Amino acid sequence: MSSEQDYFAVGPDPLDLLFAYTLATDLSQGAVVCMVGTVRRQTAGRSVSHLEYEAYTPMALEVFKQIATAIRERWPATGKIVIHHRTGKLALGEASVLVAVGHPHRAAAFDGCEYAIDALKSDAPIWKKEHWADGESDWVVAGSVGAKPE
Amino acid sequence: MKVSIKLFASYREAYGRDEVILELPQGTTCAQVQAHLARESPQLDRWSKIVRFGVNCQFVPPQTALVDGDELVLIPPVSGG
Repeated sequence: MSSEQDYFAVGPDPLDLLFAYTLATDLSQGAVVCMVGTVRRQTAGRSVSHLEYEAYTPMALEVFKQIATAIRERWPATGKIVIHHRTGKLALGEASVLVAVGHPHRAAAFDGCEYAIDALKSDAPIWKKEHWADGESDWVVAGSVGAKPE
Repeated sequence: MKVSIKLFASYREAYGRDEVILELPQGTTCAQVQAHLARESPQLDRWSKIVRFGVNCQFVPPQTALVDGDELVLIPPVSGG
């Protein structure tokens, strides 16, 4: 257990994959799985111009902590966990979220990382507004209602 | 009692602000606060059946009674990631 070395952050600064990996790795681990969510140029056939994220930061950090606890209940040998979500205006191709999970063995590192991103999308109080190329925009709902991690 | 209500996404846009402080009768529930806000801003109806509630940064059921000084957040469907 190395929960005191977890790193959770929510904020407007660009995400740094190498920083997340460096925080998540240590000598007891045989694998660190890193997941990067990025802004794609199309959604449901519609051209995206950019995205805007807003978060209720104190509760989002609380939810990240609960996700880490749930991961260690399922995969007790899990090492360090890093979850970093960006807020504000994001251009196409930019990273919106980083998750890194370390474990002595790769299979559990993959499982823990997948659990973390699924749980984050279902429960973290973070909202995304899609701005489309035609000038319209709306808050995203699809994929979040009823989406439950196993 | 005084309760501070944090507004995000469509709720923030409907109110043009990110926080509202309400003076409420003792025992008011989260669901009652949501119904009150939706009456004032009918465009929030789209969320009324799927909004979730957080009190002091923890998810709570809609029927949870608020107490003085609570910070309530209305959570329309989230879409992080």
